[in-house]
Amino acid sequence: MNPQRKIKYMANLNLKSKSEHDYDAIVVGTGISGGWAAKELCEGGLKTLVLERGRDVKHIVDYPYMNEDPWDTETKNALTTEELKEKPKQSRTGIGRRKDLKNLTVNDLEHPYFEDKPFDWIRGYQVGGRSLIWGRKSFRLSDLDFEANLKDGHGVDWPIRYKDIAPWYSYVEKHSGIAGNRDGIPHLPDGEFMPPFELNCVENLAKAKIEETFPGRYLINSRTANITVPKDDRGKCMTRNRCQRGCPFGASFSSQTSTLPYAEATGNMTLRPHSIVSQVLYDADKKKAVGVRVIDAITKEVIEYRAKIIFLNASAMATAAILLHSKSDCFPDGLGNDSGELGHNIMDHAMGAGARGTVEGFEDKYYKGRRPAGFYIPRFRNIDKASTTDRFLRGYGYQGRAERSGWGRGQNNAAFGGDFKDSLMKPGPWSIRMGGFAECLPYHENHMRLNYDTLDQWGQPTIIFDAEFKDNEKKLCEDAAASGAEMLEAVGVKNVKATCNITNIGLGIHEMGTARMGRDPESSVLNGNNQIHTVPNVFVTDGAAMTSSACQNPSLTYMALTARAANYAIKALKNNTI
Amino acid sequence: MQRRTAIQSISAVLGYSLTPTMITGLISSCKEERKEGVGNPLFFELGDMPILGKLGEAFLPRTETPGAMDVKAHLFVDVFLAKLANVNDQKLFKRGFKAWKNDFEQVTKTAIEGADQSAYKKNLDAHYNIDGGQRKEVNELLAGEEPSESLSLNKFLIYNFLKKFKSVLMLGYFGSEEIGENVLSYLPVPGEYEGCIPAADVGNTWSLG
Repeated sequence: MNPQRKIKYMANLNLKSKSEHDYDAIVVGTGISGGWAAKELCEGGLKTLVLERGRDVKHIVDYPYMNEDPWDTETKNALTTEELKEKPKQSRTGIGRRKDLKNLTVNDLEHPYFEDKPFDWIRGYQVGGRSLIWGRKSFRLSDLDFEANLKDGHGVDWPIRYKDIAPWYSYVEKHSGIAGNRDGIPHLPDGEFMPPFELNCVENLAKAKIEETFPGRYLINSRTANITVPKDDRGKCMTRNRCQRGCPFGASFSSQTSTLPYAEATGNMTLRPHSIVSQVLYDADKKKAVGVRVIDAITKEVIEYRAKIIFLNASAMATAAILLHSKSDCFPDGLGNDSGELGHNIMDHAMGAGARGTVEGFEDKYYKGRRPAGFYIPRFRNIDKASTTDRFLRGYGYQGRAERSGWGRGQNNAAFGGDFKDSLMKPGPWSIRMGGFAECLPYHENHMRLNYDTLDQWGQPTIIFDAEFKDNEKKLCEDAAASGAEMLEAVGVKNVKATCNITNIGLGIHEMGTARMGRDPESSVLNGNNQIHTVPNVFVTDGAAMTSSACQNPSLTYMALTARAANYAIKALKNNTI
Repeated sequence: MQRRTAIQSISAVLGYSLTPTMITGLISSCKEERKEGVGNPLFFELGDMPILGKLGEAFLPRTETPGAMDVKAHLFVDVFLAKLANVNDQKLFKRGFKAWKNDFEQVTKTAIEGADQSAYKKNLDAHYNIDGGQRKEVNELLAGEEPSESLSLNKFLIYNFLKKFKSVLMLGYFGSEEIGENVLSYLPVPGEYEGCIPAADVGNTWSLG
């Protein structure tokens, strides 16, 4: 098994005979969940066609910026005003303004969408999808999350509980390699971890003071999908913190390092880039999906591929768009949309609230290496009776880090001259900061719909978003700012500043919920195995499946749901029950 | 960056041999030459460049470590204004540059082109070695809208220019290869994270964030 091995591609597109179009399974999308679907289905012996709408990105050879220093680009890694013209929406977040990621976020002019209310839809159309540019924070959900909707009546009940997914969390963690510490916190369950990236001296002080002052609050090593022990052909993390440019060591989890090579090694995968899935094809007599219709992104040729099962992993919004566009007599409002919930209940994590300040002391201490992860403060609100508040529902967690300032500390003051310059060569004072990730409730009215008035260049309907964070999310953010400041004060941090500028929905890049799992076909799209209730040979295991958002970074849950559903599908195919 | 060294160090810390594909990948990414910015200026007039160079050197003069001129940090100011600044910032910067030059010549009674380096230092002293009350006034001026009254406007334009120039100059200076690789502590492939080590073991601040 070698991640560097070249993946076989379909040699030509002129495949007219029916047999050549037949596969056991089709996977739509090659990001985090699509890569996992490909790996599991191929390893389960299924001949699998893996479709990706964007270009191919090969491990290492297609990472042109992986070794670049700031002085290696004329603009010191910033996109020019001219280049930014093609990214009016991607540039709403940092990764959309970076030269090194220019080709890993989309051109908004080529891939337009519309907003009734502001929606920051950050996309990566390439093999590997956003698995190349994700933040890699990997946390389990717990029954606090799986029972939340049932308990407070928002949304519908998850059809699964922690015990159903726990073995699959272990399964994907063991393979992916998650660096983390076993902290024994019941509502943030421990997993199968590799050694964590250690905390620095200031973070250790913060941990001690916060845990001593506030029972029930913990500051832990963040859990991240960067391996700290070599595994298979992947090298351990070199702490360059350049994961998003593509990791030449293979230490950072991406589809390129961790799933697609394993799928390829089986000989069962056919990967087809430049393949835009337009619709899922439904056979009313068989009461099943029979394949997908693909538009070749370059030639615009329309091709149909057939398979026994279909996994939709195009990302929450694109998956919902494909289903909404898959209209037939049986499904006039989109495939599997009997409930009317398809495209609704959009969730994300509300960001923009946090706290920071400077730390005195430790001037004789420094660190070495650029960690791909800092610390995490798990949710501490509404956990149990003692932590329950009537001000808001659910909770938030924080990501943060402490570090010493660099030369930038002199950039905006009035100093100049030789002594000033030379003083900036030395590390400056320590600072610490933390930013909240707040849970978003599932609101039916937060939705997306298709716009048939403005089609894209492939004749496909575009998406219109009509979604927003509401009062509960705002209150969570206000509390995250105040609690953050309160904790830093307890640590003895100086110049503490709390901020609360809640982001637009989408900016968390954790969009989810558009085809939620549920127990009742009347109010949900998917069942407990991620099958569309009424079209059981179609599985959705990307963010669309999420019934509630929790406040933890969600990708690990997509991985676990995907592996679980794929293994269910393989068995069901063998037993002829799909 | 020293490519060969970097590749060797990558291979040493990796703990296993690099496959031929990996080496090809590492080398091919090094081949691309992206440096530009030398030759004719992109935003300023050719005659402006020595002036900007001297102003840069006044902000960050040569000591035991290189000065702004040594690393041509002012060339990045030109790139920044041409390629990264928006139209409004470009216009404001240009007006500020003009106002500052006029002010410089009025004070020194000499053409700015002929002024020596010490005149630039005196100019910065005059603008920045001011008392607390004056500094507060400048800060308030810069935080507000562009004033209409001509004296205030002139002051606003000059300070805005100097502030922006310094900020971008520093990006060019500290983000230069010379400072990044040979003056600051440069470690492209750290290999591991150690969270609490003696600062003396590192010396200067890390160049890569």
